[in-house]
Amino acid sequence: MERMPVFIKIDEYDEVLKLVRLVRKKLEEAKATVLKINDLKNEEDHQLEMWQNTLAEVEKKIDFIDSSLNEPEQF
Amino acid sequence: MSLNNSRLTMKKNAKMGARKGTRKMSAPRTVSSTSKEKKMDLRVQLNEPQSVRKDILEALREIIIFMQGYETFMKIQEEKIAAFGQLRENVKEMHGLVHDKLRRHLPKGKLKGYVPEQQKEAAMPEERKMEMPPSTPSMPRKEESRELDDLEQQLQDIEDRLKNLS
Repeated sequence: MERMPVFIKIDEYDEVLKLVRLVRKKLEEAKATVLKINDLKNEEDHQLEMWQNTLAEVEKKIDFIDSSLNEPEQF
Repeated sequence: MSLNNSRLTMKKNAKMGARKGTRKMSAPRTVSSTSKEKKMDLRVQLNEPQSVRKDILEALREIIIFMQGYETFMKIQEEKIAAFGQLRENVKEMHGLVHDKLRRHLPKGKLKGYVPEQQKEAAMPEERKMEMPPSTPSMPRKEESRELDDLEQQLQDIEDRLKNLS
C-alpha cells in the first residue's frame, strides 16, 4: 500500500521537466554566487593579513623612532 | 640626570650646529628666558638621523598603503553585500519554483489526519489571535517576520512529513 506508483499526466510532465530544468539553472546560479562570496571572503582575509603585516611594520618603525628620541646621544 | 641634561640643549647651539653641518651639539643647557616654563625650547640629538627620517617616510608609505587597502576592502564589502542579495534572490526563486510550482504537479504524500469540525472551529480563533499584529511597526520588518514565520511553518511541515516517511 505504501509503495503505490505515482502517475503524472503527460502534459504536466512536460511542465515538470521544464520546472526541474529551471530549478537546476537557478541552483547553478546560486552555486556560482556562493563561489563568488567565498572568493570575496578570501580576498577579505588576504587584505586583513596584509593590514596586520603593515601594522606590524609601522609598529617596528615607530618603536625605532621612539627609541631614537628617548635615547639620544650622550656626551 | 645626565640623560635629561643631554635632552635639553639650546636652540642657539642647534642653529650653530646646523650651520656647521654637524648634528652633535655642545653640552646641554637649559634655555634661559623669562617665560621658561611656558616655552621650553628643547632639542634632542638623534643617533641615526637618516635612519629615523627613512623610518618616518617608510611608516608614512605603509600607512598610505593601508588606506588604499581600506578602499579595496570597502569595495569587496560592497561586492559581497551585492552577492548576498543575489544569492537570496536565487534561493527565493528556487523556493518559489519548488514550493509553489513543482509541488503543485505532484500529489501530496499523505493526507493530514482527520480533525473534527468542532475542534477546528475551536482552534481557529486562537490562531487568528496569534496572527494579529501587535501594533503598526514599520512595514519591512513586519513583512520580514511574516516571511520568517512562514518559512518556519514550512520547515516544521516538511520535518513532520519526513518523520512520517521514515
